[in-house]
Amino acid sequence: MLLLWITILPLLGALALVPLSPRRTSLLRGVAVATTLAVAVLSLVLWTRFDGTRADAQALFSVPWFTLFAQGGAPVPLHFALGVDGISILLVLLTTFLMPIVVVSSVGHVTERVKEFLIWLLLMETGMLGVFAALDLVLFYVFFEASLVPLYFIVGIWGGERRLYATIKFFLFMVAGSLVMLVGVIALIYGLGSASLPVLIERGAELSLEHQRWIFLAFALAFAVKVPIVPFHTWLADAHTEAPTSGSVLLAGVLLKMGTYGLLRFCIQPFPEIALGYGPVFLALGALGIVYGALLAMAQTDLKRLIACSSVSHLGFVVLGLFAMTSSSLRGAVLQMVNHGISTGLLFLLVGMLYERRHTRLLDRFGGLAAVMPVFALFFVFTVLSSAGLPGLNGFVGEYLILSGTFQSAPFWAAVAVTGVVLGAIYLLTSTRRVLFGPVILEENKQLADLGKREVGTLLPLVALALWIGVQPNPFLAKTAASLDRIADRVERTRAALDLGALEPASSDPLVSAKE
Amino acid sequence: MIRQDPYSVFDALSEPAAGAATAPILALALGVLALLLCEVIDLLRPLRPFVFVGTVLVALFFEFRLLGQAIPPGPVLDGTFVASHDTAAWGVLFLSGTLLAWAYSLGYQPEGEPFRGEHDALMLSCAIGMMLMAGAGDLIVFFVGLELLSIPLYALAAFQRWRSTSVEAGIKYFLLGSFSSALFLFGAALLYTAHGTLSISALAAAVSGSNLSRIGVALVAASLFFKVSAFPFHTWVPDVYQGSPTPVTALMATGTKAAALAFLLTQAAPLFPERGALLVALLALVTIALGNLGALAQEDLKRMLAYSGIAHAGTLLLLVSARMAGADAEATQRAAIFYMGAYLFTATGAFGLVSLLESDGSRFTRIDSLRGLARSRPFAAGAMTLFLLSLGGIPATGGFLGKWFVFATVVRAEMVPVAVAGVLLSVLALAYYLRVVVVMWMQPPAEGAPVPATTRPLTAGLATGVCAVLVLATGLLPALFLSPLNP
Amino acid sequence: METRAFLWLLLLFPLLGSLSAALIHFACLSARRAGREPQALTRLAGFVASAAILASFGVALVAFATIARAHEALALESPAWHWIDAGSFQVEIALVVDRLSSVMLLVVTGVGLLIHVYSLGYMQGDPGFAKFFAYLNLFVFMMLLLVLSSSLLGLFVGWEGVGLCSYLLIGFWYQKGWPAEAGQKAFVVNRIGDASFLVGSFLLLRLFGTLDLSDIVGGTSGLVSGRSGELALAALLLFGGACGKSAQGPLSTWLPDAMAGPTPVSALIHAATMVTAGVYLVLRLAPLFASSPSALFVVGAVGTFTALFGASTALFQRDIKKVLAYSTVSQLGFMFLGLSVGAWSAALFHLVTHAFFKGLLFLGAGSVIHALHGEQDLQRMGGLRKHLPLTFATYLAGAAALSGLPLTSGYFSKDEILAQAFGTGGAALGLWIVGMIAAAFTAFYTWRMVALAFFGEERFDFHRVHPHESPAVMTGPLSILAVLALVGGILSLPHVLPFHGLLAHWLEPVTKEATDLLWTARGREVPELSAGTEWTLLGLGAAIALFFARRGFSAYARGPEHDQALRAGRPALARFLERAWTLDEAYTALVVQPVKLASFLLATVLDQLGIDGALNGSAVLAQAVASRQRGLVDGSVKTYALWMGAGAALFAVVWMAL
Repeated sequence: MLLLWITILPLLGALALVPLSPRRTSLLRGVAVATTLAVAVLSLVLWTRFDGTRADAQALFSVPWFTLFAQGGAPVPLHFALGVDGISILLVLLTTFLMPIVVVSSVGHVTERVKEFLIWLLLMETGMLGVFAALDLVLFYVFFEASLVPLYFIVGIWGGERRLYATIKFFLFMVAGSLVMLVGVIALIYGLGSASLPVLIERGAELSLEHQRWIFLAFALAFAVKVPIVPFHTWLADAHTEAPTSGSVLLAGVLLKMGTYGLLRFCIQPFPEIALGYGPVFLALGALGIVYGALLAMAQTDLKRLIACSSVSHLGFVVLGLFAMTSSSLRGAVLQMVNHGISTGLLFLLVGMLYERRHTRLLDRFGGLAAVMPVFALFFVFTVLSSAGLPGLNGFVGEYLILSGTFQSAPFWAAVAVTGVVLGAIYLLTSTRRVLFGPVILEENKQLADLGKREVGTLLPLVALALWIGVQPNPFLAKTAASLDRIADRVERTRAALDLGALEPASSDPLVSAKE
Repeated sequence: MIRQDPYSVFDALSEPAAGAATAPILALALGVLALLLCEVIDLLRPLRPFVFVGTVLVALFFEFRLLGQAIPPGPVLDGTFVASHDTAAWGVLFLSGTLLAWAYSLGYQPEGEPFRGEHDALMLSCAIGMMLMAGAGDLIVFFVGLELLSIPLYALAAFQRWRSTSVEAGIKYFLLGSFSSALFLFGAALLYTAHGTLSISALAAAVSGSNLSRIGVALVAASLFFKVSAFPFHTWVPDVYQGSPTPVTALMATGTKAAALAFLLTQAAPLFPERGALLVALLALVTIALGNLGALAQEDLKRMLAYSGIAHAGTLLLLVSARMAGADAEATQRAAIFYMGAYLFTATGAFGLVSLLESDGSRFTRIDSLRGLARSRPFAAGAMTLFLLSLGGIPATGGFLGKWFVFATVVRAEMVPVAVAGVLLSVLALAYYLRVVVVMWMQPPAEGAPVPATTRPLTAGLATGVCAVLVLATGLLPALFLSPLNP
Repeated sequence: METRAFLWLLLLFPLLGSLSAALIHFACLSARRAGREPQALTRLAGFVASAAILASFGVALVAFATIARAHEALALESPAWHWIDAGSFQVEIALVVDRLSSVMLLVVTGVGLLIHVYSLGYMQGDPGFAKFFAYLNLFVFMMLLLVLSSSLLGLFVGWEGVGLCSYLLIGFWYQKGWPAEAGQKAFVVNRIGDASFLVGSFLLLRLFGTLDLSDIVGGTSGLVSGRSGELALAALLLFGGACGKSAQGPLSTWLPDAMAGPTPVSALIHAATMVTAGVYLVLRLAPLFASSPSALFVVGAVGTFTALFGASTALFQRDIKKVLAYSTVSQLGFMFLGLSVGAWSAALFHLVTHAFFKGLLFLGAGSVIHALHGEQDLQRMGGLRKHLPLTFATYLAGAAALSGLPLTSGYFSKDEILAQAFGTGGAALGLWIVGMIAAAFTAFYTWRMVALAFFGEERFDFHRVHPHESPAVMTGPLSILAVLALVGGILSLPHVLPFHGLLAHWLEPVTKEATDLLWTARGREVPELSAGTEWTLLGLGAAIALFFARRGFSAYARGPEHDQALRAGRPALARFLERAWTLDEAYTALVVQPVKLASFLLATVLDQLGIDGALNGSAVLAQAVASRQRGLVDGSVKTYALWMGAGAALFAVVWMAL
C-alpha cells in the first residue's frame, strides 16, 4: 500500500494542479514541492522498513488488472503489482530524492507555462517510479514507454534552440527500441504463461535457450538504447543539451537508469546463461563506451554537451559492472547508478545556474569565475571530483567495486576501463580550469552574482549524499546485498554448470540460492 | 433453400432466436422510417434528434441483451444471418460510431441546411448495412449489407453540395465503390456456379482447388480489401476522406473498415487458403508502410489522418493473416474487436476535433494552422494529443493495448519476423503524429492567425469528451471492455 | 599490536583545522564583499591551522614514545573504520603506528609544523591566506592517512587526497593561468600512475583476497613459490603508481611545473613529504617487491636513471626552484636505488635527511624570492649573503647536505645507499656507477646555485628591490632545519663508526622478512661490507662531493658566464639537458596530440557524420520516398480504378497459384 501511495501521489498532485490558475505560480510551485517532498518522506519510510537481508521483492501491492484472453494457451491474468527489491529500492529513492530538488531548481529557469511544466514533472515522477516498482511485465512496459511522454514535452516546450530536432530524435530512438522489446515481452509472457516478474525471475531460465536468446536480445536492444550503450548514444548529447536543467537532471539522474536497471532485471537476472554467452560483447561495449564517451567529452566546447558525453562514459562503467556479474561488480554497478545520478545531477544543476547568469554554455565564454563566484567554484570543484571518482567521495566506491569486481572475471576489460579514470580526470579538470581558473577576461563575467540561498539549498542535499556514500557506503550496499548475491550466485552456478559442459543451466531454482 | 412462401419469412422472424438476432436491425429500420416521417410532417421535425438517439439506444439495448445471453442464437434464418457475441460486440461498435459521428455532424452542418432528416436517416441505414455485413452468413446478405452501407455513404460524402471537393469525393467513392461491388458480385457468381451455394459455411466446407472458385474467392477478397482500404485498393482513401464532410469521414474511416473486417474474420476467413497467410501479411506490411509514408508527407491534418487510417488497416490485416495462419479464432476475433474499438473512439475523436476546428468557417485543417493551439484552446489540444498518442500506440491509451493484442496474435501465430517488421514500421507513424503535437504545443501561434472559435454545440464537445474518456478507459481499464467478450 | 583510540586524533586535528580555516576563508570573503579587510580573522586561520599540526605532532610524539619505550617491536593500532562491506570484498581502515610509519609520522607532522609556521610569514597579506592553510591542513590529514592506513585502499585514499591538495596548492594562484595548468598536469600525470596502482590493487585483491597491508606482507612468502609471476606484475604495477607520485622515470615531468605553487608548498609537498609517498609504498610492501628481484631491478634502474636525469637537468636551470625541483627528482631516484638493492633503512634514512635539507633549501629559496619580490632567476640574483645573512647560513647547511659534503646528513644517507648498491654487486654495480655520476652532478649544480644566488656582485636592480632578511617566523624554521640537515646523519652512521645503524636497527623488525625473501630469491647471503671497503667508499664519496662542489662553486662564484662557456662547448647536449631530455616535447608528440586527434575524429567523423549521418539520412530518405509515392495517389479515378483492377487480377492469379 505504501508503495502504491508513493507511486501515484505525484499523479494526484498533478491532478490537483489542473484546476489551479496558471497565474498563481508560487501556489503551483508550492503544491508541487509539497507533493514531491511528501513522496520523498514516504519513500524514506519505505527505506527504513526495507529488509536488505531478503532477496525477493518487498512492500508488495497487487490488484488484478485485466486478463489477456487465451491465445491458444491459458488466459494470462495481469496485475497492477508493485514491489521493490534490493535493486529497485535504491533507484526509487534516487528518484524521489531528486524530484523536490528538480522542482525547486526549476524556479530559476522555468518562468512561463509553469503550470504545464509542473504537471508534466509530476506525471513523469509517477512514470519513473512505476518503472522501478512494477512487478508485472505489461505494467512495466506501460510505465517504461509512458514515462517518455512527459520528458518529451519538458524538453520540447522548455528546451533550447534545437529542441525540436532533439525531441524527435530522442523519442523515435526510444520508441524504436521499446517496440522491439514489446515483441519480446509478448513472446515472454505467452512463453511463461504469466506476466509476473517474480515468476519470470524464477522460471525464465526454463524456457528453451533459443527462446531465451531472442527475448534477451529484444530486451537488451531497448535498454541499450536507453542507457545508452555505444553506438546508440547519439540521441543523448542532443537531448541533454537541449533539455532545460530540470529535464537534464531527470534524464541523466533517472531515465538512463531505466536502461541499466532493465539490463539487470530483464536480461541478466532471468537469463544468466544467455547473459554469460553475450557477456563479452557487453563488457567490450561497456569498456569501449568508457573510453569513447571520455574522448567525445574532450572534444566538446559546450559545457552541457560535455557533461552529456561524460554520462556515456560513466554508464559504461555501470554496464561493465553489470555484465562482469561478480557480486562486487554488481554492487558497484547498482551503487554507481545512484552515484551517477547524484554527480551528474549536480553538474547539470551547476551548469544550469551558470546558464541562467550568462545565457551561454560555451567554455570559451568563461574563465576565472573562481574569483568572481567562490561559492559556485567550491561546489563545482567538489562535483567534478566526485564525478572523477576521487576516493572519499561517492564516485570512487562504485568505480572501485565495479573495476575490482570486473578484474576478477574479465581482467583485460577492467584494465581498458581503468584508462577511463585518467581520461575522466583530463576532460573534467580541463573544463574546470577553463571555467573557473585563469584571469577573468570577459567584461560580462566580472560582475556575476554568486550562488543564492535557494541555489545552495538545491545543491547541498546532493553534496551531503555524495560525501555520505563516499565515506560510509555500507547502509546503501547493505540494502542491495541479498538481491545481488542471489543473482551473482546464480550466475556462478550457471558458469560452473557450463564449464562442466552441463546443458541444463543450474539456475533452475533461484530460491535455493536465495536461502544460501 | 430459397423459400417459396412469402409469409413464412415472418414466421421465421417470429422464432425467438431469430427475433433476438435481428431485433437491433429491425429497430434501426423502424428508426429510419420514423426519421423520414419526421421529415415529412413538420410538426414532428423537432423530435428528429430524439428519434435518432432513441433508435440507436434501443438498438444498443438489443445488442447488449445479445451480449448478455449465455448461449447466443448463432445462425438463424436458415443460416443467412449469424448472431453471436462477436457480432453483437461489433454491433455495439457500429452503433456507437454512428452515434458519435452524428453528434459531430450536428454542429458541422450549417444552420438551416435542408435534408437534415435524410442525412440522419442515411447514417442510420449505414449502421444497418454494417450490422448485416458483420453478421452475414450468406454472400447475398453480405452484399445487401454492403450496399446498404455504401450507397448512403456515397450520398453523405457528397452531402455538402456547395463544396466541389465534397461532390468530387462522393463521385469518386461512388465510382470506385461500385467497381468493388461489381468485383464482389462477380466473385460471388463464380462461387455459386462452382458450388451451387452462397451460404458461407457451405462454401467453406466445399471450397476446392477448382480455379473457378479460387478466382471467385480472390475477387471477393479484393472487394473486401477495398472496403478495408488495404494496398493496392487504398488509393481512393485520401481524396475521399479529405473531401467528404468530416463527421462522415469519421464514419467511413471507422465503420466501413470495421464491418468489412468483422466479415473477413468471422465468416470469410475459412474461405482463404492457409498458404495465403504470408502473402496477406506481406500485403499488410506494404499497406502499413505506404500509409505511414503517405502521412509523413501530408500538410493537411485530415489527409494525414486518412493515410494513418490506411496504416491502421494494414495492422488489422495482420490479424487476418494471423487468422489464416491458424491463430485461435476466438482470440483473433477479440483482438480485432478491441483494436477496432480503440481505433474507433480514437479516430472518431480525432476527425471530430478536426470537424470542430474547421466548422467555424476558417478551415483549420492544415497542420500548421494549429500552431499554439495548446495556448488558445488547451482542452482541444489536450484531447487531440491524447488521440494522436493513442493512434501512435503509446501506452496508457487504448491504441497501445489494441496494438498489443494484434501483435500478440501475430506472435502466437509464429510470425515473429512479421511482428517485428510491423512494430518497426509503426515507429514511422510516431514521426508524423508527433509533428502535430509539436505544432500544437511547442510552436507559438502564428502572428495574426485566426484562433478557432470556442462556442461549440454541446453534443460535439460531449462526443469529444466521451471519446477521450473511452480512449483512456480502454487503455487503463481494459477489463471493462474485455469481460463482456468472454462471459 | 596494541589498540589505541587516540591515534584518530592524529587525523582529527588537521581535519578540524582545515574545516575551520575554510569557514574563516568564506567569512573573510563575505567581509571583503562588505568592504572590510578582516586582518585579525585571517591571521586566526593561520594560527588555528598551525596549532592543529602542533597538536598532531604532540600526539605523534606520544605514539612514538610508546613504541620506543617498548622492549620488543611494538605497533599501535587504532580501532578500525569499516569502510566498505560488499560481501566478499571488505575494507576496514585502521591507523597503524609501527616502527616504519612512526618515522614518517614524525617527519610529516614535524616538518609540516615548521613549514606551517614559515608560511605564517611567507603568505602574509595574500588574499587567499586562510584558504592556503585550509588546503595545507587538508594535505597533512591526507598524508597522515596515507602513512598510517592499515589497508592499501585507505592508503590510496590518502594517496589521491594528497594529489588533490597538491593540485589545489600548485594552482593556488589560479588567476595567473599557468599555475592552474601546472596543477592540472600534476593531477593528470599522477592519475596515470594511479591507474596502474589501481590495476595493481585488483591483482593483489585477486592474489590475497584482501587489501589489508599486513595480510599482504604476511602472505607474500606463501605465494612466492607458485605465483611469483603475478607477484612481480603486481609489484611493478604498484611501482607505476609510485613513479607517478614520486616523479620517477617518464612520469617525472609534472614535478618541475609544480613549482608554480607557493614555495612553502614546494617545500612540504614537493620535497619533504608527498613525493616520498612512492618510496614509502615500496617500503610498506617491501616483501612483495623483494619476492621478485627482477621487479626490484626495474625499480632500481628507473630510480638510478631518474637520479641521473634530474641531476644532469639541474645543471643548466636558471630558475632556482627548478634547480631544486630537478634535484628532488634525482634524490628520489637515489631512494629507489636504495630500495632496489634491499637497503630499506638506507632509503628511509635518505628520505628523512632529504626531508630536512631539501625542505630547508626550498624554504631558503622562498626566503630569497621573498626578499627579491618574487624574483626566481638565478641570473638576476647574486651577492645576497650580505643582505640575507641568516638565510645564507642556513642555505649553506642545506647545500652541504644535498651535495653530500662529509659528515652532513646527506653525506651519510646517500653514501649508505651507494655502498649497499656496491655491496650487492652484479648488475647493481652498473647502477652504482651511474649513481656516483649523479652524485657528482649533484655536488656541482648545488654549489653553482649557491654561488649564483649568494656570491658575486648583485645582478638585481637596486632601484626596484631592496633585499631584506625575512622575519623570525620564517628564519626560525630555517635554523631548526639547518641543524637537522647537518646532524641528521646521526640517525644511521656507517658501521665503521660508533653508534652506527640506529635507524637500521630500529627498522629491523619491519624489514627483516623482506630482506630474507630478497636474498633467498637471489640465493645468496646478505652481503657484508668489510671495514676497508666501507672506508674506501666513504672516502670516495667525500672526495667526489668535495671536488665537484668546488668546481661548481668556483666556476660560478663570479657570475653565470660559465653557462655560456659550457653551452658553447657542447651546444646540442646543453640544449638537451636544459629541456630536461626533451621529455615534455616527447609527451606532446606521442600522447597529447594523438589523443586530441582521436577525440576530434570520434566526435566529428564517427559520431556526427557516421552515426547521426546515417540516421538523418534515413529520415531524409523516408521523406523523399513519402513525397514520391504521393504520385501514386494523383487524384484521378482512372488511375485508382486501374490499380484496383490490376490488384484484383493479381489476386486472382496468385490465388490460383496457391
